[in-house]
Amino acid sequence: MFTEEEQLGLDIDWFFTSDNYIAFAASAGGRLPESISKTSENYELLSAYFRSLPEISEILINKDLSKIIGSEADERYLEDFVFMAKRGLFSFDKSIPNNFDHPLYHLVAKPLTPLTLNQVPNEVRNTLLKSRFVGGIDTFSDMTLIK
Amino acid sequence: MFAGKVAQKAQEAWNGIKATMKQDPVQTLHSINKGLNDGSIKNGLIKSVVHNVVKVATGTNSDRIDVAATATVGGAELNGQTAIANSGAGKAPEVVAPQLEEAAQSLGGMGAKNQAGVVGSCCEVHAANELLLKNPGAAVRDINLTPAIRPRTGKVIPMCDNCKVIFKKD
Repeated sequence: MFTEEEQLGLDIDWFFTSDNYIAFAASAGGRLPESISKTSENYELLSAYFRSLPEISEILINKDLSKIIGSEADERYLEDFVFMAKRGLFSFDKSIPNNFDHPLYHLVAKPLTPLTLNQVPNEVRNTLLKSRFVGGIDTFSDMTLIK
Repeated sequence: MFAGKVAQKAQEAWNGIKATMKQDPVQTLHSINKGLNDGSIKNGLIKSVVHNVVKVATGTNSDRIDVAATATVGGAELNGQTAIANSGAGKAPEVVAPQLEEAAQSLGGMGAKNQAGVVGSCCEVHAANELLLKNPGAAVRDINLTPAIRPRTGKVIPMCDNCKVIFKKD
């Protein structure tokens, strides 16, 4: 469970699934989807879990990234998102950091060989299935559409 | 890596995490080695404060505060004294310097919620408050602030509308 104050003050790793794929998103002081903010079971372990996985994939950086965030899209900005994409997760960032109610996200990096739901343990899969996006995972852009 | 091997590694990783994690996971926040330069330091700011903000965000400072997953880290300077704070709690300080409380009155006071968030919850206010409590004769306008930094990306986060009112910034 994340309170509104915690969501406001923290840059939280959160995860969702779509089409059997897994995505990572960075909250940057923004509001979380309810399915994330109201859960506690196993959720706190997901970040540590995915970060402990070995690299399994080459990655692609979103070619439109500089159009979205301008010159900020340098190596330092990319570092954490590339880290997750190399572990097979589609990686998204909040488009306007520290704007609590702004719902938009953008794709930063995606894996060429994505990790799939059937490759993760049941407990992880069951937790991920509580936060789903209907649509192509790399088209995700609005956190209010996570159900 | 073959799919079966990936699944096996994934299961091993999960078993390991469950066995060893007794507390909230500390997320990997990589070092801030870029993102700030002299050009981004505003008039009157002390470079060492900025440097320490970066050190705190990297976790290389032995006195580091808990910035794991904090949204922003920022510093303040007043009469040669410095303070570094983060936004981690998402709340206004429990004990607020009277000067800051007065500066926040037009926003509904410290802790009030509005469109910009919770008044006084930002790292700028926490850092400034620490210094003003030690210097009761000082004014809010005497505080010099570093830019707030997002540890995950090393990028400067613009001051929120509440802090612009409190610190009288355009």
